Amino acid sequence: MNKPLVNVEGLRVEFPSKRGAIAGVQDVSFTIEPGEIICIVGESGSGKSVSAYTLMQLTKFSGGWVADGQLTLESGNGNEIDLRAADEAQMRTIRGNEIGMIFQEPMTALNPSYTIGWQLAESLQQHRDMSREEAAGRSVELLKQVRIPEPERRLKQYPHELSGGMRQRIVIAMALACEPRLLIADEPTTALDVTVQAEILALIRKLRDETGAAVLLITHDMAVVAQMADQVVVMQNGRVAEDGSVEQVLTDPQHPYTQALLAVVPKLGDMAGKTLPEPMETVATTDCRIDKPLQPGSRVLLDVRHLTKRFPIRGGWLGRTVANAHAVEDVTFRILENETLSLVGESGSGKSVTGLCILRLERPDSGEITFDGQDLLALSDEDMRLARRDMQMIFQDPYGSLNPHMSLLEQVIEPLRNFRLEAGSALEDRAAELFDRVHLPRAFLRRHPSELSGGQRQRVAIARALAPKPKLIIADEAVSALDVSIQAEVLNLMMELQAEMGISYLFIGHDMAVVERVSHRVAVMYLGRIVETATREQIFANPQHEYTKTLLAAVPTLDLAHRAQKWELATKPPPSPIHPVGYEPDPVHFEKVTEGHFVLRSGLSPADEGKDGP
Amino acid sequence: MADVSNPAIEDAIDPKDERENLRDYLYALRRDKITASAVLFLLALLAFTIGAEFLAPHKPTGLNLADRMLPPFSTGKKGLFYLLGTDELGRDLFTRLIYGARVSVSVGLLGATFSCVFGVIAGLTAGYYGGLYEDLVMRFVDGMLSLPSLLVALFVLFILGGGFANLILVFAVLHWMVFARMSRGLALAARSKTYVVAAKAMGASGRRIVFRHILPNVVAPILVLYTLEIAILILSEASLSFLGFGVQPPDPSWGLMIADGREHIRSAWWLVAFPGLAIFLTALCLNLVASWVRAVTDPAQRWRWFAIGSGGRE
Repeated sequence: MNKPLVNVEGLRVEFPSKRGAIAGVQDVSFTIEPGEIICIVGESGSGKSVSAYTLMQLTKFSGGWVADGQLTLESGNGNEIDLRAADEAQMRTIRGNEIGMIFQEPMTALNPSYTIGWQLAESLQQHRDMSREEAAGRSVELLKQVRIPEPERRLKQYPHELSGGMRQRIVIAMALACEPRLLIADEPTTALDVTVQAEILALIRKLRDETGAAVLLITHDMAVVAQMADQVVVMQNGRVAEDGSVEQVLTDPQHPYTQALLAVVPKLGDMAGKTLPEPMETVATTDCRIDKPLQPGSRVLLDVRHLTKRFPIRGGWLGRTVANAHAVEDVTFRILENETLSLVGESGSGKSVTGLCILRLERPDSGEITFDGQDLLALSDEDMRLARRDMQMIFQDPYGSLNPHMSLLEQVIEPLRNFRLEAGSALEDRAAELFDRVHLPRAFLRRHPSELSGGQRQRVAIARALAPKPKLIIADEAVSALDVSIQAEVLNLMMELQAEMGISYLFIGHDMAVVERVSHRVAVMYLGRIVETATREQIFANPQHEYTKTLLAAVPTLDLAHRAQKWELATKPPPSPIHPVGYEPDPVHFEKVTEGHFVLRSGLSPADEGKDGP
Repeated sequence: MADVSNPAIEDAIDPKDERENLRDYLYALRRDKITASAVLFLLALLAFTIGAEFLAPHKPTGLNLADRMLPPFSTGKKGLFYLLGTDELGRDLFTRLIYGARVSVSVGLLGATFSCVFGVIAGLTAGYYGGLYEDLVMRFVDGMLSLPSLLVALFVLFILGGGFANLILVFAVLHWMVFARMSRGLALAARSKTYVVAAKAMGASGRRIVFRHILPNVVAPILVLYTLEIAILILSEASLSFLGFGVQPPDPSWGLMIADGREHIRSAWWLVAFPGLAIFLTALCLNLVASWVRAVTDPAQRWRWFAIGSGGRE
């Protein structure tokens, strides 16, 4: 056995705080062997990123310092480098040359003002002393290595011209530029769609096989661990809870925290043969009280017909409309009372715009929306404002949807005040009741959003949505930004409230395993259209449309037998929803599979036919 | 309690005592000696402005021809001590500086306040509502900004006559555009924030969204501009008074004092130097405090200022 590439022992990293230095991570030890994939897994706040960033001395930039422990890196020529003692000049050669970094957010990791080629060449010229021509040649090679089609043309493009998946590949190419022996990937796929995630993960594995670089992957997702890892380090509260080989940790977890983490991951197929939604499985501390089945009613609450929304793309000197982005194209669905309809699809499929159109936060171009017998598109602005009382929205990002400068009390009573439902001290009583309802302590009413965790914030957002006693709640990716254990709690709360108050949900999401758990019916959206709609049971047992199948197959599983290699890397860019002015897509035509199960057979534009799904 | 806390990782500490209070700001200030002295200077200036009658050693308009043109630190014929010397009419320079501060500071404060209130209302509503209203407001702002402001000020003051109230009016009319431009940009950015969309979904009216939801979130940058604007207005007041269109003698103002002292600059340097220094120091301190306020109110930066035991130890 060779000497390990990286050896971390007894690491303790401290950060300044108002009450003196505080340990961010303590007593963390792990080794990385050459060419292996090691995953550090944990929930937010577990210290997983800090542990990895310390290797690059990047914690310095957020004020932290290594208080104790050893960090050594075996460099290419066999010398052992003490990463703790290395000075800034030495670190500069290590970053990039020995250790490459892939960041979470491909949108912000690239500089928007420079071309791809310039950014790639920069590190090559700096670290490798290449001439401009040599660097350009090597850049093309690198783009080929990360399977980017038409590399010569890409070099001249700017980051905004590429899709998220392509950008993440560029980031990976940049990390690979100087042939590092260790790649640190910090949640490299969290910001990407599931199908793109599968591609990027497959690419990282392929590159590991080709270049022999070791990979340190930071993630919160146990399924990603199962797909990728050779070795696993599970972290909790700044300490290592458990480590070992992936087989050992996944099949025979020793630490209760690992067991809990594995237990809360929703598994696709768990609900086969059941017609009604069921609460998520949580760790023993569950407080979910659903005593009656979630049976939908029979009256139609929301009826959306032929909804269309196009965003004009302006260009030229006079800002004329040069093309239209067809965000939502001829979408039709209904939601019954007490029913959950899930709208699934990837980013850009138009599912969120559909939600915003129903509340008329975006004005649809055509179509009909009937809510509780009222034609929403015919209402005046003021009547529409009042109509929103019966339909509320929960947004994806609980950090963005709460006003940072308002106390939680003010935020929760905001709808009551706007719709003049209560006044005076009754407002506070109602807010306290609502906090009881979502299992938050009443003392929290005086706090500000920054004093709460993500899960608590999302509970506040739910309390706020419940305040005017709505009939419909549109939950736009309401749990996607939360840690898995908290995700389960929030979903159970939503189901509990449905059982009790008879609320209908339009659940907008992309995680098929979650959707399977919570919905009565499912509609799959792709490029602005619903491509398949059916009951939950029908769609998961018998998916008909190509895209639905792709989406289901892309969900990473905990099953070690299904490692990511099977994935083909897409080389074609995903079809674009942007069409010239005056373009009218073919009318939709649905084929009936069985009772209540319909699949789109035409209506996608000719360019998209034959390559449904990325 | 878990000992995991830092902005770099997630905050797991009881948030109750994580919120900054006055003590923390004082603590952060004490560690930043330069900003602390700037704050002290401004506080002293404010104290002198308010309590001029009690703190000034002499009368501001008290002629004393026996003690004309005395240099700093001199004692006059009747045994009176003049800290910064006297002017050509034998008036105490230090006293006149204190009374001059009253004019300069209130012109700066009031001028900046009026232009801030007007500019922010115009800018925030333009940015939030958009459409034709925004076009009208912003093109008007562009037009106003392209006027040579000193020339316009001179012209207007020439017609209306100088003096305190007219000066403030002119400043408000000529300076609200910067606030309008800035707050329009802030409102544009805030308009697409989720909490604003959420407020709309919760049935908030347009006015409520602008003033209850957007405004509190954009106060910090506006406050910084406001502080800078006070400094700019004090300087403008000095130049206008220097040119004879601002405050009228015998009322003292810093700009006027420089204008008067100019004739004697060879024989009595202190007549120009001390008012000039006062203007310079006030503007400098306001700038320093403004940049400090910006830093400590920036959510991404502020923790550095309140943390104990920081400093790039490695």
